[in-house]
Amino acid sequence: MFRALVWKEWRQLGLVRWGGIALGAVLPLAFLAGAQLASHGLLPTGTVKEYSSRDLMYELLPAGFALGLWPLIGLLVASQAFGGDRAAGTENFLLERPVPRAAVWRARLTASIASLLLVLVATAAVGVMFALLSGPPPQIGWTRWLILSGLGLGLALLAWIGAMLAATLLPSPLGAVLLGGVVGGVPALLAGQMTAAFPNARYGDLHLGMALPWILVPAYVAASFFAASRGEPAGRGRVRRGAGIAVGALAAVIVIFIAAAPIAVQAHARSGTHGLTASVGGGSAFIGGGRFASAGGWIADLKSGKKLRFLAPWVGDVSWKDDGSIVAVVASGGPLGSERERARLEFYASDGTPARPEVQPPDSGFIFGLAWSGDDLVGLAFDMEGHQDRLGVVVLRGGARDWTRTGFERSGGDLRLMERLDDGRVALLNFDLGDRAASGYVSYRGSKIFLVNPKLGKVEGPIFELSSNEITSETGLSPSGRFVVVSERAKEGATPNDLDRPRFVRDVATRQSAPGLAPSARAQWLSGDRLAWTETRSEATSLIVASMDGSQNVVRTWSHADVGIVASPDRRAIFVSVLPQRPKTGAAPAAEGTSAVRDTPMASREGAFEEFVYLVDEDRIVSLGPPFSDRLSDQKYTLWAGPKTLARIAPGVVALEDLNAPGKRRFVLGSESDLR
Amino acid sequence: MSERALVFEGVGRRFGRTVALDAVSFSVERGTVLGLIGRNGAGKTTALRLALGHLWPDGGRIRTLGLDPVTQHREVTTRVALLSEESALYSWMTIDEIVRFASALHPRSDAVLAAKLVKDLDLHAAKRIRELSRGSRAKVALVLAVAARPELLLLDDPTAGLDPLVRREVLDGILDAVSGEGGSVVYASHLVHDLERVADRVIVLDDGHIRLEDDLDALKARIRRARAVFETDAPPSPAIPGSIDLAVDGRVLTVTAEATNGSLDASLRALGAREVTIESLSLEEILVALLREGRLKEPTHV
Repeated sequence: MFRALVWKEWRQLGLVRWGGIALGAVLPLAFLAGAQLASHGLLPTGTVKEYSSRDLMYELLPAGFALGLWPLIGLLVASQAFGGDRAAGTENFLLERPVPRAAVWRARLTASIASLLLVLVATAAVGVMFALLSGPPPQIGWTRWLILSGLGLGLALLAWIGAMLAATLLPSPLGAVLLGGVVGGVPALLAGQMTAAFPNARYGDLHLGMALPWILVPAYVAASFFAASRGEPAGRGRVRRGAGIAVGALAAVIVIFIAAAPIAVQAHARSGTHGLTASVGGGSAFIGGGRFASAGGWIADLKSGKKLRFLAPWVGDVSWKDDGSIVAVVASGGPLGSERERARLEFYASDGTPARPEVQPPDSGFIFGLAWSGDDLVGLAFDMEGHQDRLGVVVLRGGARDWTRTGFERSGGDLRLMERLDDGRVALLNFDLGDRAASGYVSYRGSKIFLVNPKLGKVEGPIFELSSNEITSETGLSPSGRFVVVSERAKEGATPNDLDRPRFVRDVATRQSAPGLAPSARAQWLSGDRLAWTETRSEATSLIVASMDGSQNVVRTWSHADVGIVASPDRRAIFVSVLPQRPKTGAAPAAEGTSAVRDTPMASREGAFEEFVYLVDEDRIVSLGPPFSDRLSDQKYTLWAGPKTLARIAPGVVALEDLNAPGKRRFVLGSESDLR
Repeated sequence: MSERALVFEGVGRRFGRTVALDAVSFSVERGTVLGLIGRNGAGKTTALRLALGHLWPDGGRIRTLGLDPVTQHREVTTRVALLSEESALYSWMTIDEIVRFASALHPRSDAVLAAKLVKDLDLHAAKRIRELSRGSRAKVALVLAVAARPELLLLDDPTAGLDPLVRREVLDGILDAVSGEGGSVVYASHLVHDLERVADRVIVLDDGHIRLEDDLDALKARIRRARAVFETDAPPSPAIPGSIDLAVDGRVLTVTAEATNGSLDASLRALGAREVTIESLSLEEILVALLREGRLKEPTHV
């Protein structure tokens, strides 16, 4: 019986099949003729440059198949297969006989998909033949053909499925062609629209908006099946049944999306490794999803480890007031992973509750690079005026809703806010960049350091200028603003400069961090204008803390070690992690002070490093027990969550650990088992 | 096998606001031919499609060959064939192809019988359906229906629009093939003459209601027409027991009545008729007389 049904459906589709193949054979000739006419200005398009027949056959023809002919054949084949009998009045022939309607539906499915694939293969073969006749493939080979063929196959299948449903519901094949095009396009359109409207509704690389609408495809097939093969044979309720399933699936997509999007957004924020923004005052910290918080993040209570509030992505700059009472966040996150057109500034108290009304960026631009100074907030504002972009310094005073422009704008190059000084001013670095060369390279022509005075709403300076051969890292200015660390490009080491006595204090050989290692091994300013850095001489690496008056303290020395340091938010403690380093040649010379590790092959020493916190004022080391950080893979690392609290961070895990209870962790994200 | 071929009990079916059948009850004995008479839109087609399970009833109960046509649709369509005026045939197939295709779909299909019918009905197997005349298409539909050896054949005006000769040929073919083998037939038509030739029992359907249901022979035996000639002018409105229709034309009184020959003769002679001639009526004449008298306006069970 099934064979007979397939035979009948296959025969009935003969006209569409042969018509499609004929169109595929005519299309290359039509393109060639059209190109000739266009080159002579005989088409309404006006004169078009002459395409070579090779260009046409290798570029335009596969696009014509993929975007035009194949989807059209998909629509026609399905409309004829599933609606042809009803239109011709022959539907009852099968309904009046002992033929399961499911078998009829399956036969139509089989014959129509076979017909569609035959047309696709045949027309592709014809197209390839024409392409070969026009010349050898271009440099990219058949890649364009393959990509467009894949796209065309997808579109043809979508059109076929859409028309299958439409033809099951509508009495007219022409109506089915039109509706099928719309219905078939819905999953693709929906996927595109939902992905664009809810870009952050994702888990990893899987966008919910991109994935969920494809539920409609099997739903269309099910809708067509149940509409055609269930209920009254004469068709009462068919439209209600089919449309009900399709609309139900659409509703399900929306409902699932609404239910799953918040879960996915938070799950995505939980995954990966996290960043953290701490305050000097402690209390709470902001834990960002992803290193740069773009996936959103949480305000978490340091004492309990409890997540107080989730901030939906996108989250840009985050800055705590010194006392930790308010955090300012540049965010554009909307519900369900959507994003507002413009990021606004949001304020939250340390308990996660909104602390102030939102503040929009000045003009039509956006705000970034936040730094608190007492109750004032300094930021960098970027906006476009015509074709001219503006980057300047703005201040938000106290609880004001409007930004005050300082009038300072970059003069070429780029701006970056640096540290807030003890007196409340905020250091500002203005890179002086040259024009972009043809190679794309932008030359560096030195930097100037300014000071933003929020109280006066002014930018002062420059207080220091660096030549094109000098750079200053994030170490920047000392807390008093008197000293600035400067290093020469392409040279290891850096020099703190006394701004009162320009251009020299002493040589400090700060060792640059190895690429990809965290925490930063660069020099760190501590309270009281003390500088901490690591220094390697003769393969012995020392941690040194020095005052700018010349006194220095060698805290520890290791043989063949890579030492990373991170200053606490209040700059009174240093987190130190020591990674053994393979000796360059031969045996290591005797090292001064403590030798933490001996020279053994790296492979046998993985994890054999130490971590501790050095309390600067007390000149005391707090041992942290078994090392946590994994600086080899950069997957596990430690940051400061507060002045006395460390954050242990691993993929999917953030745990808090107080200095007075090393090893005792409160998990904000993940659990102990996730660390194993 | 003792159950009736078709049973309708209080069956109703609507199409939107239109009532096609309203609590209709009737049955068809096995081996008999039921004639369903009614105008277009009376509910005949609906009744047949309900019997086949093609349509589902809104209320009531249907048993086709003892089966529920809704839940046992496949069994019903295996044993029941429907032949309609608009029997759906694939125009692109040849007669041979459509016969073979239909055979492949039907487990009871009899290829030998189909071939014989094709030959007997003078059909050319290689011809495409679209090349056939309306009559030949009706014959092909007949072949397909009969070759399935149905126990119940539902005919929905299958010969309407055909010339009398072909109509007779097709009808005879149906009766020979189905009734001859003890099958049952429900024949719905507005062509009363055709129906009268084959029906054992008739039902008159109108507006979804049964207006008349009776055995054809009994109906014809019960209702007669008498022509009475009087010496002088016939009485204008005589009281005749069972009278359905009266017509006076001078000395001649024509009366259609539900009565026996003897009682009708006696009644007329008692009125002074000199000469009385009693004749049987055709089904059409009976229906016209009943319509005139208004008896078919309300549900009637004689």
